[in-house]
Amino acid sequence: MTSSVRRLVAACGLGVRRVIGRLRGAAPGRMGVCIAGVAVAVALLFVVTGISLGLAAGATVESEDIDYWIVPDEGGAGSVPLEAEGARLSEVHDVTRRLREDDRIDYVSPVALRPLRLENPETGNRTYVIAVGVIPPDRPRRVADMDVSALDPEYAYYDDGTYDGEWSGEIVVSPGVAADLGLERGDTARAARSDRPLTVAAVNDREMAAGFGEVPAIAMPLAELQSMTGLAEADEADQILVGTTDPSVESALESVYPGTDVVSRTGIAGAEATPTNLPLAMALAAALVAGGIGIAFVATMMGLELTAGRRELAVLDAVGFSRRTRALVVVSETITVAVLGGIAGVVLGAIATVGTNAGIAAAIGVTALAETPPWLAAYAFGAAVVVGLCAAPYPLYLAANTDTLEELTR
Amino acid sequence: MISVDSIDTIDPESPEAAGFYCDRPEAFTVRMSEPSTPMPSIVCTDVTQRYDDEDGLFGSGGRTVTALDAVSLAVDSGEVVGIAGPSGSGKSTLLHVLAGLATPTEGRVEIRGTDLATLSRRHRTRFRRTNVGMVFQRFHLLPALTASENVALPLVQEGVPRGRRRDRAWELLDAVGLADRRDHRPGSLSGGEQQRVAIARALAADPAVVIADEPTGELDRETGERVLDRLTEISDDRAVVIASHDTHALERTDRVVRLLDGKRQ
Repeated sequence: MTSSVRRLVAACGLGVRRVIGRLRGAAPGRMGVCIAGVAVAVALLFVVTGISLGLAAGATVESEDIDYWIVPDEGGAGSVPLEAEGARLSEVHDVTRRLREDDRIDYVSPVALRPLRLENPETGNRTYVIAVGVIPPDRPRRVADMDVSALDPEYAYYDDGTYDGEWSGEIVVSPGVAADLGLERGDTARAARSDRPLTVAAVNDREMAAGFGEVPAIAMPLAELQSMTGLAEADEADQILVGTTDPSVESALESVYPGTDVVSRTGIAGAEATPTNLPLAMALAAALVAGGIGIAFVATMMGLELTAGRRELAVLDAVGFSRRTRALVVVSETITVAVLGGIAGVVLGAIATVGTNAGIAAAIGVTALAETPPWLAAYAFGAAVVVGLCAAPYPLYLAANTDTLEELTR
Repeated sequence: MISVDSIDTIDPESPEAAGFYCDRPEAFTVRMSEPSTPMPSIVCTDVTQRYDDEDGLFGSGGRTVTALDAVSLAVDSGEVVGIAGPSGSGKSTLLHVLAGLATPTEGRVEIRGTDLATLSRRHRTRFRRTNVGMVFQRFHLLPALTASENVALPLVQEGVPRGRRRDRAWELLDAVGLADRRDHRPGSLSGGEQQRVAIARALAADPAVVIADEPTGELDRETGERVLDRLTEISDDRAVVIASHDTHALERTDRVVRLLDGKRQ
C-alpha cells in the first residue's frame, strides 16, 4: 500500500473514529440527534417505499386458467384492486357477450372490485371487505382466490341488458369475513347504504391475496355489485378476464376497447415492474422527502458540529494536515453519520413496516400492505450514503473558511 | 516524497526537503543531513508583523497594529529559549511566525536553513508537520480520540502505517510517563496529563524544533514543573522555544528573550 493510499485510509479512519468517539462520550447528544435525524428520514423512505411496492404489486386479479386481462390503459396492469375512482371499462356485459361468441375463448368475465361495508344484521358486527363482482362460471373456477362456482350461473339479475331480473343476493365470503361477522353458509348479511339482502352461498377456503397481502373479501354476481355501487349506469368493471388456449386471440382482445392494455400471463411480470402513477409518485415523494430531510438535517447538524469544533480543524492544520486531508476527514465524518443513520433507519424502517402492517391489518384487515424485499434495505442504505454525500458541501465550506490562528488563539 | 538514499543530495531549501519521511520504515527517524557548516535551527531576522485592527465601526477601523517590530532571534539545536513579555507584547505572534502559521509582513524566518517565505502554503504546512512540533496552552487535543490517537495525529498525514503510528504513539506516551493512559480520552485526563500528551504529539514526527506557547499556563505549579521537565528533556537534539508569563518556567530555559510592544528588549 502506498503512503498516499495509507494517508487516504487513515484520514477516512480518523473521521470515523472522531464520530464514534463523540458518540461514546465526547459529544453524544449532538451526534446522536444528527444520526437520529437521518435514521428517521431513512425509515420514512423505507416504509413509504415498502407501501408503494405493496400497492404496485397488486396487479391483475389472479384467476385459474386466465391468460389475458383487459385493463384500462390509465390504470394499467399495476392498477390497485382497491382503487376507488380509477379508470374503468364500460359496457362490459356487451363486450363479454361479443367475446363469448369467439370460439377461441373458453371463459370470459368482467370483474369489478369495490370496497363495501358488510354487516351481520343479527350480531351487528361490521367490517370493510373487497367485493369482487364476476359473472358466475358454469364450471368450478376461482377468481381472485375466491371459488365463485357456488354462485348461481344463471346470473338472473342481469336480464337482457337490464338490471331488473331476479335478485339472487348470493355471496361467497372469505374465512376472515366469516369469522369477523360470524357468518355461515345460509346466513344473511347486509351492505351499508343498501337494502338488498345478501345470502352466504359459501365460505371460501382461503383469503383473497391482493398482491400486498390477504384482504377480507366477498365474491358476488357482477350485476348485483354494479347496482349496489353505482357501476350499473355505464355497466362498468375494472378489468375483463379471458381464458383461452389460443394466443392469436390477443390481437382481437386489443381491438375490443380503444386505449386499453391487454396483459398476458407471461407479460405480467414486466407489467408489474412498471408501477402506476400512484405507487411511483409515492415512492418518488418518499425519496425526495427523505432525501430532502436527510440532507438538510445532516448538513445543518454537521455544520453546527463543525462550528463547535472548528478549533479541532485548526489543530489539524497546526499539526500539519493538508487542506485536502482535512476536507477528507470532514467528508468521511459526514458520510459516517449518514451511514450510521442509514443502518439505524433500515432497522427502524423494518420495525415501522411491521407496525404499519399490523396496524392496517387491525384496522381494515389487509395484511402485509407494505412489502420489504431485501433490496429495499440496500436502497434505503444507499439513499443514506447519497444523503451524506449531498450534505457534505456545507461542512466542507465551513471547514475551508476556518481561520487556524483565530481558532487557536480564541 | 524523497527517498533516504537521496536525502543528502537535495537542496534543503526546496519544498521536497520539507518531507523527510519515505516509504521505507527506517526513514522514520532519519532527518535531513546537516549542512557542512553548522547553523542554528531557527534564524529569525528582522521579523515585523503588522495587521489591520478591524475593531472600528463596521470592522473598518483602519488602524495598523505592529505586533512584531524587527525582531531577530537565533536558536541552536539543543537550546531551550524562553520568550518573555507581558500580554500583547508579541510572544504568541512570534511563535506563530516561527511555526509558519503566520507569514511575517517583513523579515525572514529560516528553520534548519529553509526560508519559510519561499514555501507555498501547502509546502509550509508540510514543512511544519515534519520540522516543527507545537504545544499549546490549552492542550488542543481532539476530545473524541484517545491519548494514543492524538499523539499519532501528525503521522496520519504522512501515510505512516497504522501499526507504526501506534508503536510510535505508545513509545512517546511511555516517554512522558503516560503508558497506562494511552487509551484514555482527554476528558478523562488531568490537565498535566493532557499537556504531556500534547508534548508527545509535538514529538511524533521527531521535529527539529518544538514551540510551546504558555505550556504551564493552565497547570498548577507542581504539574507545570513536570511538564517543563519533559520539555527540557527533549531539547538534547532539537531547539525548544517556550513563550511564558511564568518566571519559574523561564528560569528553566537556557536564555530568555524579552519582548515589549513587539520589540526585542
